[in-house]
Amino acid sequence: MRTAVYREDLVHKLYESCLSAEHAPFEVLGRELLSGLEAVAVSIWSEHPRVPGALSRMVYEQNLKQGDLPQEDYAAARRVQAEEELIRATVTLKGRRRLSFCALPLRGRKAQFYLVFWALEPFTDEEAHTLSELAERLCTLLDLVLSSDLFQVQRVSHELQAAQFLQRQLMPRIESLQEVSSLAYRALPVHELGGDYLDVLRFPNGTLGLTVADAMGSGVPAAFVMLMARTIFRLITNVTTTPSTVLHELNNHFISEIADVNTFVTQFYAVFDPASRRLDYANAGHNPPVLFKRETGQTAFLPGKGVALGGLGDSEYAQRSVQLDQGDILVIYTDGLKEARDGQNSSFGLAGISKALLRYKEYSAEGICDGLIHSVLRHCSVQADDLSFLVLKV
Amino acid sequence: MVVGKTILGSNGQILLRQGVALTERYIQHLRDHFIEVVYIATGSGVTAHDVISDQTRIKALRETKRILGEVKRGAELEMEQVQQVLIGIIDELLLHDDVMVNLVDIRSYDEELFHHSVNVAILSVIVGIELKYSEKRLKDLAAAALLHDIGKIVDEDATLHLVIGRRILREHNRVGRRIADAVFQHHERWDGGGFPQGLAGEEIAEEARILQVTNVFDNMSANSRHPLEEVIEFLMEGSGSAFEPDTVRAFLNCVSFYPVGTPVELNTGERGIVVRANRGFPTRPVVMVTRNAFGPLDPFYELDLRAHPAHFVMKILESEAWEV
Repeated sequence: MRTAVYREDLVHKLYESCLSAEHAPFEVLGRELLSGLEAVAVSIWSEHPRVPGALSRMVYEQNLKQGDLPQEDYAAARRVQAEEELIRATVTLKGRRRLSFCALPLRGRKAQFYLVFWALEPFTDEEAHTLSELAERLCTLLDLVLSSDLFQVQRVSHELQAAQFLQRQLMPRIESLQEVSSLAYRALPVHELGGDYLDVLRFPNGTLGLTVADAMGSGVPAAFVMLMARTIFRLITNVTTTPSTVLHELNNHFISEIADVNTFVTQFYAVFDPASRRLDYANAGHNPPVLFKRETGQTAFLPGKGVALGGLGDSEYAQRSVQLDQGDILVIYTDGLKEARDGQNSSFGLAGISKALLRYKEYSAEGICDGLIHSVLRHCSVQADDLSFLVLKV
Repeated sequence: MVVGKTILGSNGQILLRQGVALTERYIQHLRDHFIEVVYIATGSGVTAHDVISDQTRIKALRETKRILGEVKRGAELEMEQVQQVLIGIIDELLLHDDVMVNLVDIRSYDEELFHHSVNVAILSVIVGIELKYSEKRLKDLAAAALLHDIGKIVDEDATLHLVIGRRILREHNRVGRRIADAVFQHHERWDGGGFPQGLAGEEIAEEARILQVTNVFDNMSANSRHPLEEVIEFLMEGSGSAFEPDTVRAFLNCVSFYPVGTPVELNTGERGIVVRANRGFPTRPVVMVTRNAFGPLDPFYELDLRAHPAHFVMKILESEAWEV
């Protein structure tokens, strides 16, 4: 430990780096303390904001090559919390290794803090004295960081990133399906989380389940609903794959789940048989998919529309079939594609989709996706809404 | 600034060599020769490689200019010389059969016929290779491509030049009927809406179907300077009506939608330059990523979009908006 040497310098450095940190200010503080004091480990604890008597760890940083001591560190924090005064002690770890800590309480204006410092040798009186002086000087900084917007914003953004990762992991894996059919999709939420749900399932009889759904609203609430829709959908398709039945069941489950929440989901669901090239589908209030017929070069909506999920209990969903031919292209999409608006407020629409399909029809589904993105962004230049679509090229 | 690619003049002479520092005087020199597009080598080491070597291209341009000039003076077509030119091109393209056409490859261009002829010959051979033509057929295809507008030497008229072209070739005992037919039919359309005979579908010689595509591609990219994406979109839009779909598909496999040197932004917020194309995957090139959503990167790294399906190009960036 080098408690005596750089004390004043260290305090300046801690303030500077911590307040100018772009994210995770507590981690920055922990790292600076660790290196500045040449400690073995450092932790900062505070009273738990919601659970009385409990502790919440703001940061833990260690400079140990082997093993770690969060258990011992927690015990030390607990002790200092109970005794409310500076504690010095030496503990024996696994493998008979001995480490010493110095833990001290700190009364901040916002909360009660506890600092724990770990070193190889026991702390001397002088070191303990210096640490308590240093702690006094840190009190204002800890208060500041804890109450800063930066800290809150960082916390939320961390959580959003974790959720975004989770949502991306839930996207279908279609690499293995390329031998069966030329399939590709794009899912581009405008913020971290999206309310669009897109899925591709391969059923045991060789057919493919294709679905695109859109939860009302956007961001976190829509992502919750989307997640629920996905779970129910996947459970139902384990039992039956028939489009009309699946949407019927889905709607009933959905209504019982969200009876008190004023929200709904639109969903298109189809089963495609690569062998016969027949597509059976049903639609729960979703944008009608666009079908490009290779032979005529014409593009049209798939007819048929039902009640959105969560709208009306026991709704029936009409099932239709369409025969696809080689070279035909089916695009199932959410609002973001059709409603993308340019500077004159005119939407991309069926005309935009048709034109793009005509212009990229010789590419694989993957290339068509790239072409659609290219065309949409040329139309509207900035993405304003969640943008998802699934392309099947027969 | 350093020139990223050797610039050829209208006679095939070298105006500026690759790697030369670009000075005011050189820029003026280029302007004098009506060169508007110059590829600048960036620090990241992006250089566009032509599908054939400068040496072969220069030789082809010189010879073609001379051969066409002889015909214009009334001399007989030197078919042997033509074949020499073509063998050089074919051999080189066969050597690297993963070539991808970049816009840069066809921009050593001007209005003159022999430039266009050599370009169409190169492009047609590339398509022929993709369609697995034999070497013998490649030679016929290349000959038809190099000579497809030979009639224009006598008359520029849209229909007449086809008739004259066929006549010149038929008079020559070393030119096969296949070549003459392809030249005569290169303005037909797959749906029967073309000229001079209004042939449709299989009635049109296969070689002519290729010429239809490569001829339009070169004319569009050169004369009106359409961005490559527009030319590609035009060809695809015309697939099944103006052009035979199989030929368009084969051609598109060899043309990168994002040419080498294009600054792009990916869906991940990463930005970079296209450094290589993947044959058969026109929209999934290799990108040298120079910055991410947080700022410039050092070092840069390469991202092969073919191997990373979750990454894709969101948009082509304006050159001005793009900085390393």
